[in-house]
Amino acid sequence: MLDLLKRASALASCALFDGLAPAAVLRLAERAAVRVLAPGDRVTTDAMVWVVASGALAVAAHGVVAEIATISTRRRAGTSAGPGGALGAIRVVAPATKPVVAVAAEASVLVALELDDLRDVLEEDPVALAALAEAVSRALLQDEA
Amino acid sequence: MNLRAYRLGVAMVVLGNLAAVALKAYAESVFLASYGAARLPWLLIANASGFAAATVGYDVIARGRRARAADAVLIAVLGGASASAPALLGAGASAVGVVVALAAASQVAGLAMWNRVAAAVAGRDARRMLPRAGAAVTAGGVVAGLGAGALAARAGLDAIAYAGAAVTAVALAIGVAQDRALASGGAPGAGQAGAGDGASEPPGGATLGDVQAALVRGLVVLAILEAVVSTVIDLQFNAALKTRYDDATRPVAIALFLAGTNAILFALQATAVPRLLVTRSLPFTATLHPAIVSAGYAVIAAVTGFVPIAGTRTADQVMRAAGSRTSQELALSALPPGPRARWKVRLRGVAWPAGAAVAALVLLALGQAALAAPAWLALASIAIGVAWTISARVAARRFQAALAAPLGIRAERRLVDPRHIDLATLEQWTAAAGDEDPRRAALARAALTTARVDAAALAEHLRHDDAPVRAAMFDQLARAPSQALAGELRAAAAIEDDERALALAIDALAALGDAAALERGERAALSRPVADAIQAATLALRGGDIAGALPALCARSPARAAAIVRARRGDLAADDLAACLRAIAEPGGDAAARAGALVVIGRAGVTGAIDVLADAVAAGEPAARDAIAELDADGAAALAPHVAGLSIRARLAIARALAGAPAAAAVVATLLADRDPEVAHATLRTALAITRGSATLPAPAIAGARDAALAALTAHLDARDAAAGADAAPTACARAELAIATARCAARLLWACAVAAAVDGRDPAPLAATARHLAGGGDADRKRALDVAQELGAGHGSILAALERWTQPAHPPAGTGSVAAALRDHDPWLAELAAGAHADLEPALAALRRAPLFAAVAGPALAELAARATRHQVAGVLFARGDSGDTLHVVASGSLVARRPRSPDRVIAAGGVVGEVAALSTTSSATRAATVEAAPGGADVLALDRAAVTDAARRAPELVLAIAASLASWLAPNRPDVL
Repeated sequence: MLDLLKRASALASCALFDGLAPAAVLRLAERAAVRVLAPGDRVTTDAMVWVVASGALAVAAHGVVAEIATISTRRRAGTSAGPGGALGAIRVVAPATKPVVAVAAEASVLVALELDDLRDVLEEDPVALAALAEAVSRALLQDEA
Repeated sequence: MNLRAYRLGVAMVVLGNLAAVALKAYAESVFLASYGAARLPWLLIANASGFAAATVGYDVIARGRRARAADAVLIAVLGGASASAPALLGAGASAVGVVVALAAASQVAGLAMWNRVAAAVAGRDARRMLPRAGAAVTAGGVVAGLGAGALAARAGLDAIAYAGAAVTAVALAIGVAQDRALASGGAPGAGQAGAGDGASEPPGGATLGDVQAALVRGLVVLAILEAVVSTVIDLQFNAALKTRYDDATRPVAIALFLAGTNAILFALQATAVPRLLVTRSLPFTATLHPAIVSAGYAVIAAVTGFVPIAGTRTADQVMRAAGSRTSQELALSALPPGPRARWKVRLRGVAWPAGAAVAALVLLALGQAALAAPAWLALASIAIGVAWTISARVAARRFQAALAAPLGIRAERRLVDPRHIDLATLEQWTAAAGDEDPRRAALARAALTTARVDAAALAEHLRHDDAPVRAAMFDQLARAPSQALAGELRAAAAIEDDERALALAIDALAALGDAAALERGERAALSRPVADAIQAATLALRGGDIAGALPALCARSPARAAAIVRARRGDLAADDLAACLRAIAEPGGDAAARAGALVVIGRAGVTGAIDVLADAVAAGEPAARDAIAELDADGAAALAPHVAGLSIRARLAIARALAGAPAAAAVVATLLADRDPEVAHATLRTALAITRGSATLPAPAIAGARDAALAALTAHLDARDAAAGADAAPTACARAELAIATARCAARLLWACAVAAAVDGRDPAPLAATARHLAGGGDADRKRALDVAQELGAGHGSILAALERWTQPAHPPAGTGSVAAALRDHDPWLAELAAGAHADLEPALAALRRAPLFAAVAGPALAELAARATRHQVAGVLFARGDSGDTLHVVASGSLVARRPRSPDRVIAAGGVVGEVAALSTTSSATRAATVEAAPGGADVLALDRAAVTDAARRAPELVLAIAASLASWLAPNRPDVL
């Protein structure tokens, strides 16, 4: 398991929290939980935001493909997430977004944040907010391309 | 609430109770005449069985979603049974059968009628009005008892049955009228699961979720335990009564007890209980009954005699009706409408009687032995009473969880206090503080700053084997000097052989004002780090050419520079110091030196240069934000007196930057008292952030902020009322701004309550989430959020009353009220708007406000943006796909069409926005993703360039949140997996 500082370090490695003051990252880490995944284990973004501390996950939207997919087909169907990657953050600002399912491609450690905790940070810290907006904007432009 | 349905429901339930009391008197008289008093216990058993059977029957019918028809049939059956009872008895029917049928029908009908009253009210109305309905029923019961006696004396026993039937018929007719009132005026208490009005989830749900099922289980246990204790005290009371009074005086005594009980009950239901229910949380209210009865039993255990038993029994009867029943009603309001009605009947018709039966059987088995040892019986009752109290609290907590669940609000969490760490963690964190990765080192230093570690525990780390650990330890002591460790520090510095660690040890000694810093330095080889440290220590301890040394110190070690300025403040002329720091911080100069100078200005509170820091923070300069985040308690104390004189933009930026400065409580406390609503709003949010962590704020500042927030909300509500009644009503724009400002006040008030909760050691996060629903949710969510706020212990009654007033329609004042006058002291900009002072801005302001993007932005910030907007008529192409651009367009009237390859055309109507990415982009210009042109008929747009949007976003970050949400909604359908 990760102690407070390790959780905070994992969060700080995520671009969303890159410019955040150390005290703000620690506050978020205090409320974060840790989930250890074996290869093949799944998580969904129904109620949590996940930040990958270590390992790698294949990500796909819910649906038929997700239900029947193996890790390799998921890799083809969706994106992958490695250390510093975030899953489900988009649901904090767009709650109607479909949850996605992620499968551990290797042994992985995730830091879990509740949606409300992340939303609190966004409402309190313009730096985190700007980082999220920029991340969404970048993803949108990449999708357009 | 549906007032008409409520009144009709109360009339119906009062009449129903009239009939029930009268018929009970009739039934018991018939039974006594037929069988005698010796068989009365059998009547009680038969009645309980009949009630349970009727309950099960009613439950089966109601489960088939025919509850209203079942209610009508039930009341009709009661009336029919009453009317036919004399004839049936005359025809030789079993008296027990008639009596049991009447009792069972009247009890179940009573519950069904109560459900109809509950359907007419919801939320805080239910908390306030249901006890009053109970008071009316209590008064009706007294009238029925007296009336039945008078009627029997004048017209004979059978007249009671006929009168009961007549009253039931009237109740049935009123029931039909109430049905219509509920159909036409709404059924707020039946159309939803919970205290709101149900928009959060589909009405009529028949199944229970996990949280709701847990609540039901808790209520069942609660009902059983309550019944056990009540049965025991009933038995003891009856036995004591029999001993104390003879056959002649006993009826008088019973009548007096009944009258006294009902009088107290009536008074409580009419006055205290409604007030209690709208001000306190259920865990408090629900435990009153078991706590009082348990206390009564404690008296019984200590003092034998009739009075303690009579008092406890009276308290039990009163509190059961006034407290437990109402609490149960409230707890059930968290269930969907179907299960809510059925579980009420099951709890009262099955669970409670089952508990009573178990207690009766046990007492029967014990026989006279139980009564012969009242103290032991009391002790056993106390034990059960404790379990009852605990289960009441558990059930109430489950109610809170079930109430908050539809809003997605989690229960309060118990967090591990990060301020208390063990030695192993201390060592790890200290090592991390010396890490080469600056981000990890900064996190570790921040963690260590908040950690509460015994000074003695630190001492052994000063001689740690690893130099990085020692260095981190010395660094920590330089930032937070500890006189208790002065000796250990001096000894550790004397033998330190690592240059970096030694430099930091010298810093730490200098911070303590210890000249050993210089002595140790003189014995060391003058490496660069040590030489710098000695130079700084010399300046701090002995003075010198500080102004000359500052530029280099600011660039290389801002912390040392700040320490020197603090230590030698008296040697420096204030103007010279300010001029020196201004020169170092000159834009375009050495960036590192400027960043250091900003730290020094903030930490040392250099009055003459505060504006440099303020401007940099307001401009969003990261170095300035970091300087604020670096503030320690002394620095905050130095800066605090000067922030009030800064511009609103600077105060806003500082308030937000303070979210990263948990040690800067003094500045937060100062800004909490800021008179500007935007600043107060932002500071409260920051206060919430830092208190959610491990920081503490002074209680008077929080109380002051809460009072100010309450006063602001009240003023805005007064203005709303004045606007509703004013002859010269404010413009639609001013009204809309007033509504938004009022919602922000409500959120601010709840944030203040959350901060107060954090200071009390509670988790403030649920209240913060509640504020989100209260300020931003629909009407239904707001009502539920208000209930949740009360259950979370948001604050005193006046806070809840103000929040409730906000959820209700405006009430025009009797006299002439002025919107501007109401707002003048609390929201000057809005007062000016209401007075027509910004009439020229209103069209642009109103056009921007129509866009969801700007919906949550504070009025003054949006007005500033509106002033920078330029209006254009668009007839052809606004921009083409692939063009570069940096302008955001808001459609004021008409519509635009966006065209993209392989995508259907998108029509952007008034209130729509195009160009969010362009306005947000950090590059010089962004490429347009679509061709946008005017729809036939043209469009009128407001153009906002990136600079205007960026400035607005700095002042109102909620604009960035809205832009992010807007972009995310574009991204989400195709790529929910990328972020």
